[in-house]
Amino acid sequence: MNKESLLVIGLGNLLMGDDGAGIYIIQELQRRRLPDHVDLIDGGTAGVGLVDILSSYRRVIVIDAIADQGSGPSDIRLFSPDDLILREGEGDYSIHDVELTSILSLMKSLDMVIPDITIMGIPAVTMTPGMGLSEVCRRFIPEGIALIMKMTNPLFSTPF
Amino acid sequence: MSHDIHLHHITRIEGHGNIVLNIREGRIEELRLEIVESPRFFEVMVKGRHITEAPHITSRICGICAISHTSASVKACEAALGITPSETVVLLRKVLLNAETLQSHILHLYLLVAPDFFRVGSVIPLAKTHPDIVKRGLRLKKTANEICRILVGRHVHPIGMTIGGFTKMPTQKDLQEVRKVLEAAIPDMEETVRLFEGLEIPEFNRETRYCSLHDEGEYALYDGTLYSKDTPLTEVTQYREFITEEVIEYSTAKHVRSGDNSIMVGALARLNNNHAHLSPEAKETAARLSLSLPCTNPFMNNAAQVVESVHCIYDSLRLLDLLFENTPLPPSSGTEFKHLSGTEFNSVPPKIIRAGLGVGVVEAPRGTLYHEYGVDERGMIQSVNCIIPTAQNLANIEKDIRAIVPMILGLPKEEIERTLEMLTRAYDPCISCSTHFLEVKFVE
Repeated sequence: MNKESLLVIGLGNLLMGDDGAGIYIIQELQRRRLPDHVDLIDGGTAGVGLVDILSSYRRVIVIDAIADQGSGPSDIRLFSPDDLILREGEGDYSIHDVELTSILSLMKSLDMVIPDITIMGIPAVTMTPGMGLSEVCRRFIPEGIALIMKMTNPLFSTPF
Repeated sequence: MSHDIHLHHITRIEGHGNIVLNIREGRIEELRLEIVESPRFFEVMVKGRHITEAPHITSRICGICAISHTSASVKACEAALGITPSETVVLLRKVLLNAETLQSHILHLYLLVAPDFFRVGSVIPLAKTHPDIVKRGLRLKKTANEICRILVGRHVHPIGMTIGGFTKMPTQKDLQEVRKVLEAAIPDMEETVRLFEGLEIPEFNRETRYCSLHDEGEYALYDGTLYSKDTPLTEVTQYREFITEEVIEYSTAKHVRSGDNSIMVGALARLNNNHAHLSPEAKETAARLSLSLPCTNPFMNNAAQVVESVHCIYDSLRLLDLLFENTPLPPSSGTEFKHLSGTEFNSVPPKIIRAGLGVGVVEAPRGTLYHEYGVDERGMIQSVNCIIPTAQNLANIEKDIRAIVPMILGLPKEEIERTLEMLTRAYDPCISCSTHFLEVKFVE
């Protein structure tokens, strides 16, 4: 792995309905041409294995499913891990796979360098056993792909 | 004296479980180990799929035991289709299974067990007070992840493992890299043994039925015959004569018994049954940890995990020697092994598809893992059975709790709770994937 590279990693379980949304996006992106500095990883349910992966990069986009707890699915949201922890505490909405926050806490406790992370939350409706995405979640996949294509394009002056 | 103990969401195990314990006048009135994680019903997901999809689906069941599930799955598929993998493929699968056993044990020992011994709530405060220890654990886990990445292309969810072999065979250079990674891990493993040498293990013994695979020639993880001291050796195809499953009202996981006995599976059970085949370094480790075998103290399962971790490193080095011996070195590094290239492993040719029933059994880090598939002549899976290690241990954990509670009733409630959590955790239960499959229909 190259510290200069940008990592795009999908998290989630393909066997748990919309929880696998991030993995579907990675699988789609693997069929496309992305700039050379972009690495794609299907992170699945990597758990503590994320420490190795995240510590190998300076810049990371994490794609994960987001379960809305109030007004139903809205839009794809971009936020930082700090927002995630804050919002979880407020009970606004929660990410199904809380491992990422635990992993970042562990890395902080060990004084490890944490990369710049942007989380892309894909609205999820069903996070129950089963393969395939719900109708609602599936509609967000093309938008998610387009957003990643844009965020990884060096001609756009985003943080990436 | 009365206690109502509800350990809601026992901390530091994989997934969620509750212990409900109600004690009146020194007697246990009620005891339940409840499993509350929503079941994943992966049996249902595999049913109706083509047999070639099964290993890929099952590789997603668990981020910790992905190699084990995939190994059991490919073995079941191969048994159903009548495919015999080459010796080289089997050797490589054994290296991968060793790597997974190492990483799973290390994760449990460093991140979930060590906080008990340092009397802190979790790995987060431990990382602040003893960062070197936690970093060592993470380095050892990385060792195993690296081996998986080199051999099957990924840290998690081994996409390269498939029916008959691998989608891309590792090269000579890959194996040399694996050897380097393993050798580099030896000093950290030595420090791990030293760490666990000094840790105090509660004195509690209760004999039970220890079940595992067994092989006359080696320490059985990948293959063997079903074994426990009190039952005749059983071929894996006859596993229903070896263990039986029963539905428990308060748990979404089934309980497993052997005859009338609860059973224990996992590192300690394997050591009790197969310690003669441990590597010399692992035998020495057992002696250093005061683990005299057979051992009936379930808390010693943690020590058994340390012993197996040592074994996995040295056994993998032995397996690599066999791979190098059996395979002529290619002229330059990076070349694929000549006799492994070709179409042999890339896909399952349609002509091989046939109707059949296949059972695949391996020793996952937490114990014996069973996959059974029945396929029709088109290769479509019509029946599935899958029994995971944690389900096999649940009845035994309950019996241990019943036995230990009278011994610790005089302790403060917090200390009783802590002891019961430690006992449950010693089994390294993985509840996130353990829940077995009550008949549930879902719409995809």
